[in-house]
Amino acid sequence: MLSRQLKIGLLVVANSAIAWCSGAVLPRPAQVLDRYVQATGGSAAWHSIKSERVEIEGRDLESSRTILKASLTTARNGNSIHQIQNPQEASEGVFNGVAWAWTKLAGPRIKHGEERTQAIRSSRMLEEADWKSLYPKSTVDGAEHVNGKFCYRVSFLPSAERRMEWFDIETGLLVRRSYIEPTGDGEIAVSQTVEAWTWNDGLMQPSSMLVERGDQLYRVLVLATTYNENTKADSYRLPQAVETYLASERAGKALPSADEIIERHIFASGGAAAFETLKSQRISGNLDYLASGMRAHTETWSTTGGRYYQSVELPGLGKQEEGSDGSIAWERSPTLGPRAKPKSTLSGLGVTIDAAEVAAWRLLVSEVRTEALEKIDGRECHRVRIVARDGKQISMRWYQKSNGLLYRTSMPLATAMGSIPAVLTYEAYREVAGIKWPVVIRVAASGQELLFRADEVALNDPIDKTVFELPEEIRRLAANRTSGEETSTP
Amino acid sequence: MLSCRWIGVLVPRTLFLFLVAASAFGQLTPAQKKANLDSFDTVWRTVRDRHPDAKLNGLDWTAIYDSARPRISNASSMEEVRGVLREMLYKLGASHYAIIPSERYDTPAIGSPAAAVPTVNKTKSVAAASPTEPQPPEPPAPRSKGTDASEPEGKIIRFANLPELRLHFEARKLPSGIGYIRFNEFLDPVSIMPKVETAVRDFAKSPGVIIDLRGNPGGIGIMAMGIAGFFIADEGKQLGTMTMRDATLKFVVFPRPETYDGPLAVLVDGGSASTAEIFAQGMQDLGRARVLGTLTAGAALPSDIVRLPNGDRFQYAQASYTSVKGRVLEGNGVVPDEEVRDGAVGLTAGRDLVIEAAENWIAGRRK
Repeated sequence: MLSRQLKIGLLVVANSAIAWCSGAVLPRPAQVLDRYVQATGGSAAWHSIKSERVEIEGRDLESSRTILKASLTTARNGNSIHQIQNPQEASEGVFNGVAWAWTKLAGPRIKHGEERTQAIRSSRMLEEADWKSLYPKSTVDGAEHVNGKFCYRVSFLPSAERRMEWFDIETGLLVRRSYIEPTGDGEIAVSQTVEAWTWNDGLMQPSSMLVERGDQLYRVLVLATTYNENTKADSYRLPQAVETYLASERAGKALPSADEIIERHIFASGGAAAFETLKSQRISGNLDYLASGMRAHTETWSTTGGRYYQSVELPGLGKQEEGSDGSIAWERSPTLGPRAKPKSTLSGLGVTIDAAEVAAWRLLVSEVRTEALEKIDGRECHRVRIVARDGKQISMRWYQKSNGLLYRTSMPLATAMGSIPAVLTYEAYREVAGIKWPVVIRVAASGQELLFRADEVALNDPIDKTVFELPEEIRRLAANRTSGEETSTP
Repeated sequence: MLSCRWIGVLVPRTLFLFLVAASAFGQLTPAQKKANLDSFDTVWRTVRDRHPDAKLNGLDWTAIYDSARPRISNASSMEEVRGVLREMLYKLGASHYAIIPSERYDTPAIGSPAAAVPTVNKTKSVAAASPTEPQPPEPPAPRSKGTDASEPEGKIIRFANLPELRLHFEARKLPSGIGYIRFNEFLDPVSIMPKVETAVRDFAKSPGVIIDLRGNPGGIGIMAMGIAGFFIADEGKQLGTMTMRDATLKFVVFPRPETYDGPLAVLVDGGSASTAEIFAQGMQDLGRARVLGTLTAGAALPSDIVRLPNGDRFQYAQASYTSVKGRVLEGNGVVPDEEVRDGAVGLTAGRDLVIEAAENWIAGRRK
């Protein structure tokens, strides 16, 4: 991931037509940067601004879809507060040196280390006017063509973010800004190319920028800018949830964020990359109904595209089957017969493979919270509350503090008869294809206790496509259902 | 965030297959005494945690524990232990609580429900299970008069924690052309359901079908849904709901590819219990069947049977049943649309007056 981001960063530089010829005399940084400040309103105008609030919107280049919508408020004293509506409801900011973030998905957290440094740096407003104090060792490194304009390239130093800016030699205006942004799992190259300018209260600022951030390319529009509106410190104070969390953290009682716990679980289970390469799974084993002394043999196959087949062989009850060929879901048993399920049950089949859910977990939930650290069967576990995307299904998960692995899940299980609460305890894992896979699972549901033991777990083995083919009687039922639906539609 | 969704699909699909709505019935070593105490604790705790009514019918369950446990400790025989347990369960005033002696599992199958039916029909003389004696099995109704698909000897089956049972099934056309289906337990779907399917296909052009559930004490609850699926063509129907402590589940009917749409009569009597009652009441509420015979047992609590540490089995209710129209069967039973008593007249004349009444109703529907 890191190397790819660096490549993108290098690509940005390499794509700029390098026109610098050795031997030419380059200006001093002051000549470039002071000229820019002058061209955009002058130092007095820049320094008269104590705070600014900018309403921005990011749009996809092709579809004009809004992918970012936020209100960014920054004060000269370094405080800031950003309210984000898109891509998710969130806020973040800096208040008296405390860098924080809150998301509706994962709740509050406090930024530390390099992330905090970056947040504080990003909270500086109109900093080109203060380059002498902030970046006293800046250098002009060359002159080159960028976005069709002949520019001076300035490195802002000292700077951990490896920041460079290109200024139009003809107009003195900023053409492009690039930097390396640290993220939770590495770094990402960002470049902003100015497309348009606008004057506002005696200051000229970019009103449209083309942004390349990693693999993403989008346009940011500045919809409105307001100066000196939020100058009081109270405007930037921590939200209550963040303040409470900060107090817990300072008292040594703060729990890790649910986001962090889940990511650690993914890492401990083999890492997102291992899960992303997963294309098929085949699991066989026995399911023991402990109270009744019954044992069922089970076979489960699934692959991408929502194809799925499962059979359970129960003594005295026969073979219970369920499957989907990716477009029709079905089930049959000796007791209830064959059934082509309603089309509505197909929703979500695109992620039939469990492992696919791992890497994309954020797409499947609307909220995650760490609720407690508690002992389960003698193991210290973090209890995480998870609300599904639909906002209705709530489950609890207990992740082991010692190794990050999931130990227990409490969740409603859907049946054709209704929903039943169940508790699944993952008692043993086995490493298969680089992934730690649960192979002993204890299930408690409606007063019954079941124990699943996997004999075999095969990941990414070729699966004969005929496994997922619809049985003939299901095919007929589905055809009847389709024709019935068509004929019943007015 | 490994959710093991595959097991989430697997478990619920099979979980309730085991819920049976079937009715039931020298000197101790130190090890046996300990096993008996453990068994007592299991029974007491299970009732506390799983009885569909969290208030346990208003009983002071802790006080009952305090008074009964010393008696288990001092018991000198297994019969005495079972007596104390049955006395404790009797206080619940509900069906589907039974202690089945381990010896029962060593004896050959009998012709009707091996586990006797503890019933609590308030309107009948049959009371709740006796606290001291296992209920004797009701004799099978002697109604088989030659069949097209009958098994006179029955099939011996063993399922989960039920004792060995002998399963009878018959399907035939009556001289009137009406299809007739009878089986004595809702068990062994692997053999029963294909036979029902074949019978329904054979009866496709029959003027009506009779399902005789007299003397049928129930069995696997979802078989009621499965059999209903042969007679209900519309999706979205249900036979009622069962309410547990932590969930409410519907007896959903999944129509079969081929269904019988003609008149359907369901025959019941005081020996019809549990799943048999759920089927009869459900079909009556849906207006799909006419129920004939006499009031049923009023013992319709979906239950489970577990093995106790001392080897006996314990049957306990874990849900209550309410029909689509809100009728609670436990203690009340199914009230037939047409009460027909197969009394002395029928028996002496070798006639089955209930079947005759059903045939008359079907014949009337044809006019």
